[in-house]
Formats: sequence, structure tokens, C-alpha cells
Amino acid sequence: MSNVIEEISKRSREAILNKVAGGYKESDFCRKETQNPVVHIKTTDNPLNDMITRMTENKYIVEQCSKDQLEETINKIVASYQLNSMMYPSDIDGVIDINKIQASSKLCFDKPIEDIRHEVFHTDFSIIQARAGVASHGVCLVTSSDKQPRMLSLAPTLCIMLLKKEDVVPSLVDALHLVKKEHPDCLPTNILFIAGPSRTSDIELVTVFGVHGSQKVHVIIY
Amino acid sequence: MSNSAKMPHEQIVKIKLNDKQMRENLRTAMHTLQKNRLNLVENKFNDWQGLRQRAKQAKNNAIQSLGERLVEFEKNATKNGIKVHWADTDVDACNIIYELIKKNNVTKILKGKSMASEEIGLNHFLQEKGVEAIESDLGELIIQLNHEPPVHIVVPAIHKNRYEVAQIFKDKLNAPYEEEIEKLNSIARTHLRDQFEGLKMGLSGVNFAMSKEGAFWLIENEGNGRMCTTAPDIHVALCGIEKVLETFEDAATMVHLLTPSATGQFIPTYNNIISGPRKNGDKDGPKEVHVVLFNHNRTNMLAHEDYHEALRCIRCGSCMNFCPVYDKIGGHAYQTIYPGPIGEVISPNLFGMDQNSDILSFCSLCGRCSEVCPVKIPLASLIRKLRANKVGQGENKAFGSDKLEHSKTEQIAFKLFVKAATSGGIWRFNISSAHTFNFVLKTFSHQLPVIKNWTKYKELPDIKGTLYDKLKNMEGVSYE
Amino acid sequence: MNKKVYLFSTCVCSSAMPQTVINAIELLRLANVDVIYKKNQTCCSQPSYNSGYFEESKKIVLHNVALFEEDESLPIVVPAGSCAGMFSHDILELFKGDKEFERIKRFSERVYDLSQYLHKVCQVNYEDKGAPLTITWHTSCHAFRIQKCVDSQKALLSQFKNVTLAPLQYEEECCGFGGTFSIKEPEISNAIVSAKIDDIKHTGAKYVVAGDSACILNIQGALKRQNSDIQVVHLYDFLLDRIKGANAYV
Repeated sequence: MSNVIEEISKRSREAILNKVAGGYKESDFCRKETQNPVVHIKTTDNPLNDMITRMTENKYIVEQCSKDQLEETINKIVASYQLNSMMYPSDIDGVIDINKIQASSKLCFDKPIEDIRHEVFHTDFSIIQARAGVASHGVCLVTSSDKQPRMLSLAPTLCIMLLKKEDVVPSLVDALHLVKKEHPDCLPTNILFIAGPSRTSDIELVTVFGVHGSQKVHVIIY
Repeated sequence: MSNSAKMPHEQIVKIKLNDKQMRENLRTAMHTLQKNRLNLVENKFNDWQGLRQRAKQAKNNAIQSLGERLVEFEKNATKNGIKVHWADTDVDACNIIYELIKKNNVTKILKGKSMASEEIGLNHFLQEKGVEAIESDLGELIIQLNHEPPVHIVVPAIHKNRYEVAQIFKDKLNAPYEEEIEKLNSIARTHLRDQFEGLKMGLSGVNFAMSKEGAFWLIENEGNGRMCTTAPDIHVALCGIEKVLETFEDAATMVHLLTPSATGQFIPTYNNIISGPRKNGDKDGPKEVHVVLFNHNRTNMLAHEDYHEALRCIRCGSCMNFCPVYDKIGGHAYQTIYPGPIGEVISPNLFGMDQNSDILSFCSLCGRCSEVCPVKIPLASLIRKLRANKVGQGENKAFGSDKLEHSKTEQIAFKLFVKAATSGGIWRFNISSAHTFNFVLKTFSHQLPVIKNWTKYKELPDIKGTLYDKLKNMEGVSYE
Repeated sequence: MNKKVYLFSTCVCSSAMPQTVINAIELLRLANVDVIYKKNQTCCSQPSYNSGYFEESKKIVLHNVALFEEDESLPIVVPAGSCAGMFSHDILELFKGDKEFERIKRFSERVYDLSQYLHKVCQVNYEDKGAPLTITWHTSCHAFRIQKCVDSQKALLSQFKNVTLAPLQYEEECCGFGGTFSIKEPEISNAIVSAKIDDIKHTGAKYVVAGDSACILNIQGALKRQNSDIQVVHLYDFLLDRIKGANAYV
């Protein structure tokens, strides 16, 4: 690290911590551990239904099928958009038979992005596995890993997410604790809650879909 | 923001009030945002007030233990492979970022939306050093192309309608003139796509850092934020020290409130939690993640018995969405980075009262901002306290107050007012001899242009009869 | 036996709308309440308080508080939500940490907006003797957010069955008075009140009823300047008119 940065940082650290120590102490302040805020969200006693309703509101296109119908369902979706090139994570093979997916090119994202940068940015659609679905907010939990890199859920125009129906959790906080439990030593470098296609309302508050992320997002619950 | 570029207060107010297109755009947009928020709160939430209370508590937990939080964040983030830097001033923060740019031979960075970077004047700083900083959020891109600061902290180009945006894209990007919003979006998308593909360094803000996890949470809708934090080799996140919370629960609580308050959106499209650079065989993501923890006078607010409450702000902008002044004059009239009610509180505190206290009059103290603030910052009350600092009163004044000149005539006027209002005799005489709307007006009118300013736009009332004679003769009334 | 209250008539009401003070007292008398009017009362201090002159404001508050301490069992009734809010709530903040705080707190707990006192304490029941009429209602900011008496004000109005309320679309928006704000930023104040007037005109009502005399002066002053016939009427003038069937507002 450059000396300039070290010098600024060292001086600033001391200055900031000193000044923070002189912060105002509220005399009647009482610390109260923050609990899961999901109690403030209206829910029913059917988490799967809640999730599907909210995913639909978030502009996910939700489909349900059995595990052995996954390839067929995916092919139907892809055909409806007339898309060609595909990329997929290296561990999707255990879930679907990638040979059965119809695509003009199939890129397994199993090498560093530097080697395949152009392809990643110009692929039509991706298939990924969502780690969980969150009932309270209708979002998918997607974690990055060596098998499933981050860009899969971002760069392509269409993203198809696969979600096991037993992987529905009640809340964002539950989802995060699930991740923590599965990665006790070190969190995935990127944990995402995705709420459908990318969008903007920056002009006149009119929402348009497909900005820098996916324009369409399908979730297949199986 | 440099003072020299500022227009006189009265002049900018007049210009903005006369900008009919801007006012119409803002009026419509703010009412839409208000309605969206109210509908969402009604339809999706149990006990919204209870949630506000939790959010206030969670933020206070962090603020009251900020030293611990910062050190814990540094420890855990470092363990996760994040490089944590500290910056006491705005210039320190700019310099750290510039040094990182220099070291990596970068000539261009892409930015996700970050008010913090606006606050430290990063774009301008880098421009002077020959580095291009390109905004990637659609709203930010529009105003950057048009050389304007954000008009609003969440929807920065909301004062422009589609036709104005079409003209900006035509003039600045040589794009065809398109009036459809879909097509305008597509122009921006294409313009930025290639930039992302070749990106070396991306810059973002931080919505919430979690000290216990050494991670931070970013929210956005467009995917530009994820691009800036995923596509480049180096990601730099600029984080005000007040953004550091402790747990997942703390951050999730804020997410439950933030976009609902801001735009009535239930949850942002992308909740992007970053806990480090590419590692353990990751195939993408930046190779370096830097977090710059910066102060820029936040510790002054932290030390103040009242102003520390404003450090709870999560930058949702709902206070400006609901402000009766904001939509009339627009964010640029404040001539400072943070407009609206929260801007009236934090801009003078961050940049100095001598620079920004003129905006304290942009408030009728209607209290609607305090009512909608998701973390219960008593904005109206803090604005009033800053007014006291401005006239030389109050303990532990916001910095820069001592450089302000006080209006002698105003002081005399209030002295006379007190004299009358603490003497029943003088008061009754004044009231009884009133033939115009003279309660305070007449008391003040020798010193201040009270009647003149009122009668510019409003008639004075016709007053029928006087009070005291009638009172004396009423049955059941003891006049004593 | 009759109830008894102190009346704090507020500076705007006393000076600009004296008849409203008299009408407020009449409403209390109809509810069998006797009134003590301390003649040395002045102002709740908001002009100086809201301008940041806190020390001056404390002097004014203490002058008035002293007048109402003779009988601390009596409530203090105020015919304006804003001033009631100052006395029941904001003075606690003004005197935070002051040696007089406890005294101020005792005083603040005795303060009612007149509408609350009539509605909740006297539990009045009004008969409407007026002709059918459509009005709109202006919610005053401090009545709504600080004194929280708008529910009572509306509850009183709703007892008049010949009165139809055409609500404003943006009812919870400020009218642009804001005390010294209207003097310091006359152009902005005018822009805000003009938006309010557009909203009022949209209802088609000829009368706007409101519970705060300051808002009334502001809206009425601007309406007149804009050559509108719409009249802004104080809640208590309106109530008494309906009770008596005087039909001044038709």
C-alpha cells in the first residue's frame, strides 16, 4: 500500500476514534438487541403462497414443476424469447441435464472471468440455482461461490433461477442465518437478495425493466 | 461545495419558483411518491410505527457504541480480505481514492450512486487530477451529462421530464431524440455497457455496514451498482462512519423501511451484500475491495446533545418527498449537497453554518418530515435548534456559527416583542389599538419588513370590534 | 356545579379575530363551563421560539405560566391547536434542563385545545339548526402533529348532520403560514398557500373551516388577494352558527 494512504489512514483512524470517544452519551439510553423485523410484515400461514404472490408483485415470472420437468420448462421459456446463447454454473449438472437444454452455445462459467469476459457480457441467458426463497419479501437468495460466480445473475438478458420448494424461508434474516450456518468460517463474498428484473424509475417515476441487469427473471419452483 | 459559486438566497428562490416546468415535474413526482409510500405502509406492514421505533433503537445502538463498531468492523472486514482505510476529512477521503487510482494506473472509474461521493466532492477532485469519474445510475448520468448536482438524494433527476432528458441525450451523447422512456433507458444502457465490460475500478457508497460480519450491504434497482462492485478489478466503497451497524438484524431492519419510505418500493431489486474480494476459487468479483471509512465532521454532530440524532439518517429522502417547501423550490435552491429537511440539518453541520445556514428559513416547521422519517429524526425540532445557533443562542453551537453576523435589527425587534409579551398592559394596549392584523406584525414592523412582506401576496384581515370590553361584560366569565 | 377553566385566547385570535374568542367562550358556557380570563396573558411565544430566540421565549412563557398557577386544579383551554401544542408539548423541549422544568411540566399537563375539551371532557352533543351546506376542512399542522386535536375537531364537526364535508386531496399539507416563515420567505409562503387554494377550489366548497386562526389569516389573506369569494371560517364561529341556526354561512 502506498505510504500516502497509510499516513492518512493512520492519522485519521486515531483522530476519528478520539472524537468518537467524545460523542454525546444519552443518559437514558438503553441498548436493546435488534430482533428479526419480519414481524412487521403482513404474512399468512402459507409461506410458499406468500412468496409466490410477492415474487409476482416483484415482477418475477413464477413457474412450478417437478424436478424431472425442469429441462422441459426451461426450454419452453427460452424458446418463448427466441434466445440463443447460454451460460451456467459448474454445479448445475446435479440439478438438470445441461445436454437437454436447447441453446446455440453453452458456456460453463468455470474459469476466471478474465478468460471469458466478452462471452459473459454477451450471453443471452443464464440458469442458476437460488439457495433459498424469502416468503416475506418475494426475493431469491443467491450466493456467490467458486461454482456459481456472481455475474451469472447479472449480465444476461434473461436469468432463470431454480428454487427447491423446501428452500423457502420466512424472512431476510432467516436467509442470512442460513448462509452463516452453511459458511461458519467465511461468508460467501457476495450474498444477494434479488427481487426480479433490474429496473429504473429515474425518469418521471415510470418504471422500465432491463437496465444493467436482467430484463426478465423467471423462477422455477420445483 | 465552494461558497463562491453560490447565488444570493433571494435570487435563487425567485429563479426556482419561476421555473414552472421544474415545479410541475416535482409536484407530480412528490405526490406520487407520497401516495406510493402510504399505500405500501397500509398494505404490507403491521405496526409501521413499531417498526420505526425498532429502527431508531437499532441505529441508536450503533451510534452510542460507534467506536466499538468501527474497530470491530475494521477487524472483521480485514479478516475477510477487505482493505479498510480511514479518512478524517473530505480531502483525506478524496486523496485515498486518488492514490488507489494512481497506484493502479487507472484513468477512468465508474460510480454507483453515492451521495457520500457528492459530499466529499469526489468527481470534481478527480477531474482536476485528470481522472474521469462516470456516473452509472440513470438519474445521476442524466444530471452529470447536464453538469448539474442531484436535485434529490434518491431520484436525482426527478426535476427533468422525458423531453428534457431526450434533449440532454441528444446533445451530449449524440443519441437520436427519443421521447419514449424505454428508449431513453436503452440509450443509457448501451452507452454504459461497454464501459462496464472494460472496467478497472468501480466506486460505490455503502448503505449499511455490519461490524459483526465485516461486510456491507448495498441496495439498488438498475444493476449498475452490482456492475460497479462486480465487474472491475478493484472496488472502492465510500462509507460514512455513521453507516456502521452491528448485525444482519440491524441492517435488515433498515432495508424493511428504506425503499418503502423512499419510493414506496417494497424491496429493492438488488440487495448486494459484499464480504470481500474474490477468494476461495471465486471466478469473478473484484480482486481488491477497499472500504474508506470517512468522518467529514460527523463527529461534531455525534458530540452534540441534539444533532447526533441526525446521524440515524438512512438517506431515504422521504422528508423531502413530504416537504411543502422542497417541491416548490426544488433541491438546487438549497445550493448544497443535501437538500430538503435533512439537508437543512446536516448540510450546516457538515459544511459549516457560515456556508449553509441561509437554508434554515426553507421550513414552515409543519413537522411532516419528522412524522414520516423512518428512523424518527426530530427534523423540525433540530431545524429550530439550528436557527437558535444562527442567532447566537444555544449551547455547543454547530460549527461555523461563530462566523455568522447577527442582525441587530432583528434582535431589537425580538427584544421589543419580549417587552410587550411580558407586560399585560402594553400587550392589551397594542391589541386594543389594532386596526390592522397587528399581533406581532405591528410590534415588529418598525424594525423588520413584516407588513410589507405579508402584503406582497396576502390581504390583511378586517378586524371587527375589540376583545376586552366584551369579555368584561360576559356572564360566567371572570376577567381578572 | 359548573366546571371551570382558564382560557388562553392566543395573540392572533385576540388581536385579529376577537369575535372568535367570544364565540369560544360561548361554546364553553353552553357546556356549563365557567371561564377565568387572566387579563395579563399575552402570547405562547412561538414567534420568537420558532425563530430561534429561545431565551426571549422562555421569558414570555414564564410570564404566562405564572398567571395560571393560582389554581392548579383548573385546565387551561386554548382555541388554537398550534398555541395549545406550544404550551402542552414544545415548552418541555424549550425548558429541557432548565431549573423551571418541573413547573413547566405541571403547567403543560393542564393544557387542552378547546376542541378536545369540548369533545372529550364535556362530551358535548350538538344539534344542527343550520341549512344544508357543503364545506371543506383545513387541517392545521401543529393541531395535527403536535397537539393531536384534529380528531376532536372533526368529531365536533361531524355532529352537524346538515353539513357535508368535501375533503381536500392534500389535507395534511401545510398552508404556508409557519409564523415568521411567511414573513421571511414570502414568495415560498405564497407558492404553498396557492397550492392549498388550488386544492380548496377543487372541492367546489364555498367555505373552508379551520381550527387555527393563523392558518385562517394566511389562507383568507391569499384568497382575497386572488379575488376569490371563498371564505375561511374558524371552527368555533362555525359551530356556534350551526347551534344557533344563525345561518351566516350559506
